[in-house]
Amino acid sequence: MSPRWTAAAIAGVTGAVLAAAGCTSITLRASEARTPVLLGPVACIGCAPEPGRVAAPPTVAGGVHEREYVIATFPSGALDRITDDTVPLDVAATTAVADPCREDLRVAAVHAGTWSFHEPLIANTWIDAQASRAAVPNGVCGVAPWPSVGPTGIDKRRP
Amino acid sequence: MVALTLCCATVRRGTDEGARALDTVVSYQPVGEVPSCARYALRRGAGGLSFVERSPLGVETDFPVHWVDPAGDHFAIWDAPAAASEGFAREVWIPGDRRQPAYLFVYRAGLYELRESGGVKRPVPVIPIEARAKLEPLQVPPL
Repeated sequence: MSPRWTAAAIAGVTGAVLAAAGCTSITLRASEARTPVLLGPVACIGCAPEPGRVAAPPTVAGGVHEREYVIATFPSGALDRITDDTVPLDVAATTAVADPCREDLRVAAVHAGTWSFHEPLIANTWIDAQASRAAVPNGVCGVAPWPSVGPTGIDKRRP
Repeated sequence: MVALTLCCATVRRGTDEGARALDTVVSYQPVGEVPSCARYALRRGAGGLSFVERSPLGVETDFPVHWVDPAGDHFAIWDAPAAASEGFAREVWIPGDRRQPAYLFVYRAGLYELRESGGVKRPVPVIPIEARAKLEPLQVPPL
């Protein structure tokens, strides 16, 4: 193998590894939970912050973790990525709150971090959140316009 | 807006529209979160009923898993090769009364399990998940 070809191969592998390693992200979300999961000490969605409010101890936790391995191979890097919702926040919120019309969750803490080694590339990224339950006095829910489906099947209740 | 109109118009000008309509039981107009100008149809073929999503470019996606319960017909597809934690699942529920709207559900990874039921492996959400789109039946199948 000529020196020029070797240099090109090394550059290609390095580029592929860096490209694979540099484009990773994870998201922790609760978009499917019916229970509102609120950031900050607010009384309700759209309300002003509550200064000086004493938060209840967090009792609901969720998190997402991702581990990534990149092995330099030719012509491109081999990437293995494992993402786990260790506790999906949607599931934690739904399990913890029986009546989402009269209770919501307020995020008390978010921990996010990452570390990596570069030879070989091993990366670990995580987000964990803890939330507190909070009663919503006189809370009411609107009627769901469309049916939902759950572990026991279709819920066809509609207006 | 002009681009959207042209895109939708393109779908209605399929070359084999007449032949396909023979197999179409119901075609649907989606309302909700679906790809732009996507079309949906319930068809009857040699293998029985099937549900198809058609993109504006003519790419068709079959929902290969089908089961029936007292609520109606269900069709599902998922992109998790090994485990439900690795990809989305989509389910379409079509009531037994075909004149009623159908509903499209999308289950995020980690929020559903694959369960064996009646000889069919199908996605079952672990928490209640609201429909992502309503599929209104059309009088004249345009797909």
